[in-house]
Amino acid sequence: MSLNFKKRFIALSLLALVLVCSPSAFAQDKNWREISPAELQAKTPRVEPDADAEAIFWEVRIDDSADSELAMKHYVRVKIFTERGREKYSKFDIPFMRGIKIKDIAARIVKSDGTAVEIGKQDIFEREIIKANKVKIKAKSFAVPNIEPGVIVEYRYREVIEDAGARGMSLTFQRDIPVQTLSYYYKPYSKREPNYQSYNFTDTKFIKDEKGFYLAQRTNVPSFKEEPRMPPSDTVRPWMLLQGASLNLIDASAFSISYTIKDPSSPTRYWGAVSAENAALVKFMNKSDKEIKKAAADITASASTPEEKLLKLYEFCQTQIRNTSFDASLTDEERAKLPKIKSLDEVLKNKSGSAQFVDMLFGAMANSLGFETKIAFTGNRNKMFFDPNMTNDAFIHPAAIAVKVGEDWKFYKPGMKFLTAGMLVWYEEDVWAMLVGEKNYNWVRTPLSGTDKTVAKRTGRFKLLEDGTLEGTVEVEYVGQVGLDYKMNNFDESVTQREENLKNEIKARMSTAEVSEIQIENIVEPQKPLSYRFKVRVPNYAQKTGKRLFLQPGFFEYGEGAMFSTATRKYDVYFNYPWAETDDVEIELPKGFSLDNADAPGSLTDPQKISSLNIKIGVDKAANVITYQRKFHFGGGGNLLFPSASYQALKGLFDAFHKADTHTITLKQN
Amino acid sequence: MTQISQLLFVLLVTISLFTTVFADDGAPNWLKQAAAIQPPIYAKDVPGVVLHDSNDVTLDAQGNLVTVEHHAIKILTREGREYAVAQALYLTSSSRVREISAWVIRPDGSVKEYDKKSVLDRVSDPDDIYDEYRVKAINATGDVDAGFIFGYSVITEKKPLFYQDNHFFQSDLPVMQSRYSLSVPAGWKASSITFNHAEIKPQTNDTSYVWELRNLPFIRDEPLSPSIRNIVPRIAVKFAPANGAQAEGRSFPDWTAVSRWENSMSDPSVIVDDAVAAKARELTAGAKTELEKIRAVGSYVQGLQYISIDIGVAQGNGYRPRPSNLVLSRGYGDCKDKANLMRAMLRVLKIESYPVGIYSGDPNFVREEWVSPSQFNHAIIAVKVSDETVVPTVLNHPKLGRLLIFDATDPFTPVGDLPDYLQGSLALIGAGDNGGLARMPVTLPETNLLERNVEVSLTDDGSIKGIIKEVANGQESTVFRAQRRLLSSDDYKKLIENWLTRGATGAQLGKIMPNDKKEAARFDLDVEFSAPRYAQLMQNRLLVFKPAIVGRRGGVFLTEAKRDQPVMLDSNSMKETVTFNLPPGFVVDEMPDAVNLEMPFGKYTTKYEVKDNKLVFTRSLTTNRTTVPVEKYNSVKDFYTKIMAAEQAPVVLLKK
Repeated sequence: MSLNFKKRFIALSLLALVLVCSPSAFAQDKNWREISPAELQAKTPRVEPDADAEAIFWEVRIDDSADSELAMKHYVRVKIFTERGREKYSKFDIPFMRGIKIKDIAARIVKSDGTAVEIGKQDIFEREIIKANKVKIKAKSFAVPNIEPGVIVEYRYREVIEDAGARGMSLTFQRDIPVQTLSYYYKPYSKREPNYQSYNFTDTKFIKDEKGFYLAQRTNVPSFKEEPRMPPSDTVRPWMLLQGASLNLIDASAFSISYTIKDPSSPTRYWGAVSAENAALVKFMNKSDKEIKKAAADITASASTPEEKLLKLYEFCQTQIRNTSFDASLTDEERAKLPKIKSLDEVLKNKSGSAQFVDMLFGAMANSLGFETKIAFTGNRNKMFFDPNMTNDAFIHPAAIAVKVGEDWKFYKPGMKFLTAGMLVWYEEDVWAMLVGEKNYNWVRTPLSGTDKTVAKRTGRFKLLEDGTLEGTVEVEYVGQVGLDYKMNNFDESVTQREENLKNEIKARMSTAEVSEIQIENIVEPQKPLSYRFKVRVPNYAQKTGKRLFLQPGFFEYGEGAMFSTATRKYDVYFNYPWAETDDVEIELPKGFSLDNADAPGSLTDPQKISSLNIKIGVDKAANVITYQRKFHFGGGGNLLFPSASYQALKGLFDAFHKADTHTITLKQN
Repeated sequence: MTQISQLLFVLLVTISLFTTVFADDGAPNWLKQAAAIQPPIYAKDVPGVVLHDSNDVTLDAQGNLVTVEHHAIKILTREGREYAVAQALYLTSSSRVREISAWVIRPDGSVKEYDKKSVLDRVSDPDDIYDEYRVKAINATGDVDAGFIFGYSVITEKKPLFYQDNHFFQSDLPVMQSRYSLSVPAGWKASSITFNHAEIKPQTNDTSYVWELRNLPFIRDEPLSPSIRNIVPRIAVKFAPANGAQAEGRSFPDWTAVSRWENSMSDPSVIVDDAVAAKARELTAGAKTELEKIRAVGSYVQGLQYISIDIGVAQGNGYRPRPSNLVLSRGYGDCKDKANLMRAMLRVLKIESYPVGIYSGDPNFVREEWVSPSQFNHAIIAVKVSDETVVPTVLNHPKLGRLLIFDATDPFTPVGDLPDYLQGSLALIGAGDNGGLARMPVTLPETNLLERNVEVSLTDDGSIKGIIKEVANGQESTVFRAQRRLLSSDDYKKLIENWLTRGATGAQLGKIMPNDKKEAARFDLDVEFSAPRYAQLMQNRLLVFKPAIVGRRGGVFLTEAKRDQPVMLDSNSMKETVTFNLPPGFVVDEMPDAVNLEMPFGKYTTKYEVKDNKLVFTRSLTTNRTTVPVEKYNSVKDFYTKIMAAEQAPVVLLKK
């Protein structure tokens, strides 16, 4: 372990910044390496046929051997094939800040005939990007001369970061352009062997190289391209995390010192240490307090079962405590001035606290009633699919309070202001959770709410005019994750802006729609479903041709595009959560028109019952009203991830849904 | 967003959270007085109101222009928080921000003051390799909400390049009072011109002038409206010694003087050395005509990378290109560098050309009555051509003859065409005594024609298979070209798939065959496709389908019931013919009525014909470069609503 490990850890954030913001690579000496005739003459990319530019090599040499600094050398050679490739590599910015030095920048282009143009020192500008108070960010910037398709661009520079180490650094093994050879050389601190974890690939390891360096190398690496509805990139893109055991002081007094050793090579030891570090938080939560105990007893006095008691506590914490994390009326200044909370009875007494304290007050109350309570540290499906073998505590976060009811652990998160009891936020459902107690921990998997918990219920009552105009009223109610999403996206907006958002949402489907009398309710009500209603008039909703009118009765799917448009797919398809939709539409037909055909799209489902769509169209001849009822669900059985190999079937299914949803019926003039 | 832009965005957010330092001191008197103003009640979507805006400008004896700016705004909605930012632009070489301060007055009357630790100092354009322009800012967006008042005071000092100034009396927010004042040394005089408003006459007092407006309305963002710079009231002010001394190069009596000044900036940079000459000859070695030569040079210069390095702006370098031989050797440059290099190369070929200053962003921005180079933000080129060169962008100049106007920067618009945002604009032709302001050409709608032919076979289950052949011309082709060049092959394919599947669910792409004929200002795109069950089969006897399979590109959506600003339409046209080969055994039972809409600003027609078991659907749309006054908004809205309805109308086939 480095003696200056604290400084190293602090400086790591600066390092991360630079890695994110600069094109990376490295050089071994000050001379350019020889370029082969094949590289000069190459007319087409080797790794990806349609690439705009391709890196012939992309190297980073990380030297963590010194006590006082971390040094990195970057050397990248890129062949430009198209105008877009030229655009991408025409200029460079290497940002840096205090404690980081950028040295020995060199760049050149080499034409296919071997002639080279190198940038001069006078063409490299040092810019002060921003300064504020004591923060100053600079950048070394330069334009690449005479760049055009067919040339090779290569650049190198050295980056020296004071008081930093490589531990915690992530190494990307797939870039946004294809790379023929992607290499990381790594010289760990104190002649150790590299300690690292690999994600989303297993075919690359650090092997011993020269001069104390280890080399991890991949060849013919395709570019990384995002696709809609794909799993999070950290679960798809190959990358490595440089690790190392760390010593963490957790308590010190005149008589004793408590510390943990986090050794990532052993999940049991590692997570044990993480648990020990966080046990103090659980102790803080579960600390006996008379006021909390009395309040909990009072609140649950009328409840008989454990579930009822917990629900009472949940409702109390969510509705009776002012949750400052969700108080949109607070300015940053007011938020900064909020008093520091030293104990949970203050939260109870002041009836105010941030989301985390609201959660812990719930835990404290439940604990005071005799429930076993722990803090659940979960992964985040929105960022990556975590499992406990991934020994990095940055992958988990305090998500909820776990309460043991009978033999089962139940999860409560009243600090999430709008979250329905019994659910977690979608990215914390169906993930691994480390339940940290005062003295122990255990792993469990959080439950996934089914399609019955997340429902969009939509009702429309309309009148169709003879010219095809549709007018009427709409009511929509969202519960579960879809309601939470809506509330989270709108709760801190003004009423006007909420209405504008809704109008835009409708106009995106029906550009001519005239929307009025919008009422949005329960946006900041924790327990009530989000609902809105409005009046709408859509000219030319139905199309008139001679004696017929063509009408899509599925108002809520009108103007929606198909879920998937591309014919092929590289990555798996991923949905955030299961959901259901229930639509109830009535349309009064214009006088003199009646239903010409009663075709209905019928039912669609898949063999595994992951999804279903059922549409019923009826007619009340006496009232001349068409009724349209639609029931849809997706994600049954918790199926949310679909391998790319099944893309065609999935796309076919959603295309069929879309066809059915946009089904048109014919009205005939009598 | 570039890497530096992304970084800057993150930093601006994070730093503003941590550097705010405040003290509950009192606000200055001017802000207290502004805060006491009771604004009227505005519509609920108006985010804020400017209570007070003043710019008091003094030209001191040393020739420095010192501006004291006071600005107070009342935030009316949560969205209005974004207006709580104080900003001051300065040039590192020739100006400075002497002071920047800001205050927030809370609804309870308490005051928060921002001191110098709250000031962010950042680059103005993070994408430039080097730029002398910087911005000092105080960001209070996190500290305010509806009902709060934000005020700031900025004192800047600069050496003016011209004895001229510009003042906008508002942005989009309503304004209670807005003032611009100018104090000049004894013996100096000032005068002004008003734009977008009835003449604003100054109150004068010897060497002081004050222009003021009150109660200005909110300017809503509306599609196809003029730019806000061309809506809000503004004045252009010039000042000079009454005897005319010291004003040369800083003040201009007429456009000829500006033309001469332009030449003094540009011409010294037209350097023809061996390298420039050799390159010009190499590029035109195979060119037989004058136009071919201009095309060869123009295409090369457009192809150079756009890189801007702004140094010495205060000395006029914002108008002065870098030497042409340097630009050639570096292989990159900005707009004026590119235009200048082209001039140098054309000189080698004995073709005369002139620098042209123009405003990019709104063809109606430049005004003849305001004689100033500061109206321009872009540089293009005018090439003197003989009668043998016939292209749509040649203008007949009364003194200079036939001039081919060309933008050497826009990589998507070839010689013979001009970006639509420059067409029709007044521009400065730098041709010494013969130069001056001229109106740029506007191409005809037919020049920008998108022609589409679709041949489709329809089967009895409703499936279709066919090919779309598009030919885009003129400015229409630049859209196609830009998509092809800016998107990767994968993303381009996705774009086409999205366009296709939007009209035909489940459509499968076959071959995509783009063919860019840039020199001819043309782009061909053929797309093979199929779509299962495109037509809906009803009762096993009717096939119903929309003959407009794919959307027009660049649709206009005017859906708001009311509007405040005129509608600006561009010059272009579209023609489409879709031929459906009908399935055997089916006949056309019903077709939509033909549509024929004709308005002063445009024309739209549809037609349906059945012949030899084929249904032929044609539609055409032509719009003229027009500014439709707001009183006639409904006529434009109705025009496009009827078009949308016509394009949704289905055809019904009946099984015999």
